[in-house]
Amino acid sequence: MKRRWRKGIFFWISASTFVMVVFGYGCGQFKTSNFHGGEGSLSSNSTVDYEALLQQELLQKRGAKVASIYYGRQVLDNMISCLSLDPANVSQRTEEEFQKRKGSFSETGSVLDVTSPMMMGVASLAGEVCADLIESGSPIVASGDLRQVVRAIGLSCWGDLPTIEEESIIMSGVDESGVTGDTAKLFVCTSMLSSLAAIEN
Amino acid sequence: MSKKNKKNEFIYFHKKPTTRREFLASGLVPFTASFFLPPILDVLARNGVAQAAETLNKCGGGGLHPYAPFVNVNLAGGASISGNVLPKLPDGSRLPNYNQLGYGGNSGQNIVAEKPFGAKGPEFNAGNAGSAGSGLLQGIRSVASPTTLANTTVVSFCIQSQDDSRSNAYDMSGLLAKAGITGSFLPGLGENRNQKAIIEPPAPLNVRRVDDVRAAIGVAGRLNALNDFQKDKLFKTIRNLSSVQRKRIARFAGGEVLSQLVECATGKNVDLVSANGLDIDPSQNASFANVWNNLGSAREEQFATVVYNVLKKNAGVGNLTMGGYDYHGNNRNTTDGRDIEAGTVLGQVLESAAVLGQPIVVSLTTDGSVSSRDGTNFSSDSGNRGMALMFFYSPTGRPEQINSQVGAFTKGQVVDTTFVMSRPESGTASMFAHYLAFNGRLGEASSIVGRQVSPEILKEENVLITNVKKF
Repeated sequence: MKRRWRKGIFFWISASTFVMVVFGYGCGQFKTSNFHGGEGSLSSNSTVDYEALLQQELLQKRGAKVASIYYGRQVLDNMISCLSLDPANVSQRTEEEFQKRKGSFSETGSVLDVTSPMMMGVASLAGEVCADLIESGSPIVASGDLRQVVRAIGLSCWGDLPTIEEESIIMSGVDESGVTGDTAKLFVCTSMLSSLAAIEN
Repeated sequence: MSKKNKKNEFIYFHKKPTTRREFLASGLVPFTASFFLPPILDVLARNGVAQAAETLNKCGGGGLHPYAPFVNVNLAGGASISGNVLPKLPDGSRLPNYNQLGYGGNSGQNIVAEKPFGAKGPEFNAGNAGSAGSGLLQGIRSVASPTTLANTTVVSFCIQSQDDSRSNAYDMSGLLAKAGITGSFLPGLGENRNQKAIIEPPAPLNVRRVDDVRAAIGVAGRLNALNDFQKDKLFKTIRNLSSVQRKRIARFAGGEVLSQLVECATGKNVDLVSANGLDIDPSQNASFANVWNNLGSAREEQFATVVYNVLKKNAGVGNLTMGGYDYHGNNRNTTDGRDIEAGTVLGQVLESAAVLGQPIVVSLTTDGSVSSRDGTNFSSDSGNRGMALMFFYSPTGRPEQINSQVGAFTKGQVVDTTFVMSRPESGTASMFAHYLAFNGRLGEASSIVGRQVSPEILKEENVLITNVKKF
C-alpha cells in the first residue's frame, strides 16, 4: 500500500511537471495580464525584435563575414559601377530620382535599415539606371536573347551566374507581364538590381 | 496516524533522501527540474534564428493597430518646460520659490497659475514675472477647441537631462514599435534625434512633404513604361527573387535577418503597387487641412503629412522636431514666442485628432532646460531643471488621472534625483508605461521593457493614468 502510494505521488508530480514545462511557462509569455480584462494578447500586433535576432545571429556565426547593405550614395554608385555604365551616360533624371529617394536609404549600411520605402526607392532608382543603360547601347543589354541579358547582369552585379531557379523566376515575370523589347530588358534589369543579391554589400 | 503526521511520513519513516533513487522516490527531482528545464517551446524557438522568428509575427503591421496613435514633439536645444508648468515637491505642494525657473520673485504660494486640463492636471504659468503666462498653453489654445482641451489629460515628468544634446534617451519609438504601433504600409515618420530608450527604433521615413510619402509607396519616372499590371509583376519578381536568394547570403552573420527583412519589405511593396487611392494626402481632407492653415508653409505641410498618416494609422510613430529651442541667453520675449510656436503645434496635433475622431498621445520633450538669474530671462543651461509632458486626448471624454506629476523637484528648484524616473531612459520608460495604461495595457509593460529598467517604474501605483482603455 505504501509502495502504491509512493508510485502515485511520483506519477502525479512528474505529470504536472511535464504539463508546466510544456504548456505553462511556454505559452505564458504570449499572454498578458490586464487588470480590467479585455484584449490581452500582444501577439496580434507585435513586431519581430530584429535587433535581438541580429545579435543572436552574430553570436551564432562569429567569425563569418557580417552582412551589410549599400547605403547612401553607394546605392546609386554601385548600380552604375556593376553595370559598367559610363558616368557620362547617367541622366539628370537618374540623379533627380536619387535625390528624391535618398531619404529612405540606409545611412550606415546596417541590415536593420531595410524597409519597404527603402526597397521601393531602390527599385525606382534601378529603373532609371537601367533605362540609362539601355539608351546607352551597353553590350550587357545588347543581346536579343533575354536569358543572355539575365546572365550578363547576374555575373556583373550579383558576382555569379543566376541559378536555374532565379532565371526561371525572372523569365516567368517577363512572360506573365507581356513586356517585350526594351521594356522587357528594363523589367529584367530593374528586378535584378532591386533584389536581395544586388543590395547586399 | 494523524493527517498531520502523514505529511511528514516519507521523511519520518524513511531517512532524508540522499541518493538519486531516493530523491526520485520522494518526487523532488522532477519537481526541481521544473525550475531549471527551459520550456520546450523556448528550446524549439531558440533552435536557429529562423525558428525563433516564427514564434513572433513577421514584420509587424499590415493591419490597423488598435492602439492610440502617438506623436512626439521634440524641442531641440533646451527649452523651458518647467517655466510653463509648475513643478512640485514630492508631496505635491508648490516649491517655496520659482524665481530660478523664470516665475519672478514671488514666493511659491503667490505664483499665479491655472489648471486648464482638469482639477487633477498640472498647474500652468498664468502670468508671472512680466510674461503673459505659459506660451505653450497660449499656443495650444490658439488652435485646439475648448472641447478638445476638455477631453485632454496632461501628465508632467520631472527628468534631469543633458543640455543641447542628442544623447538623452528620450526616443520611445522602439518601445512603441515593439508594442505594435506600426503603420499599415509605412514605417514611423520623422526621425527622433534623441537616443533610443531601451529598444532600437525601426528605421523611420524622413518626410519633408507629402510627395515623400507618395514616393515611398510607388514608382514613377521611366518605370511608367510599365502599366499597373506589369508593375505588379515586376514587384512580385523582385519579391520571389529575393526569397530564393536567401541561400546566397545564409552563411553571412546577419544574412538571415537581412533575408527576412527584405522578404517582408518586398512583400509589402507588392501590396502597395497594386493598391490604388491610398489616403495619404492631408490636403485632401478639408477640415484636417484647415487645422494646419491649409498647409500654407513648408513646416505645416511636413508636420501635417506626418500627423495625418499617423492618425490614419498608415504609419507608425510620428516624430516632429522643432529647431532653435536653445533658450539660454535669449530674452523672455523671444523664448515666450518660441513657446507659443511649440504650443501651436501641440494644439494642431490635438485638434487634428479631434477632427478625425481619433484618440492620440503626444509627448513633449527637450534636451535639458534653463535657469534664470533675474527671475525673468533665461541665462544659463540647466539640465537639472528639466521636464517632459504627455498629452492624452480621447474623443469620448477626458481620460482619468490619479495625479499630475511623475517624480518631483526639490526646494532648491531642481529635479529630485532620488526618484528613479528622474533619468531620461527611466523617465521615458515611465512615459511608455503611461502610454500603455491609456490603452488599458499596463500589464504588458514589463514584457516589452524587460529587465532594463527598475520594475518600480512600471508598477500601477506609479502610473498616473488609469489603466483602462476608454476610446
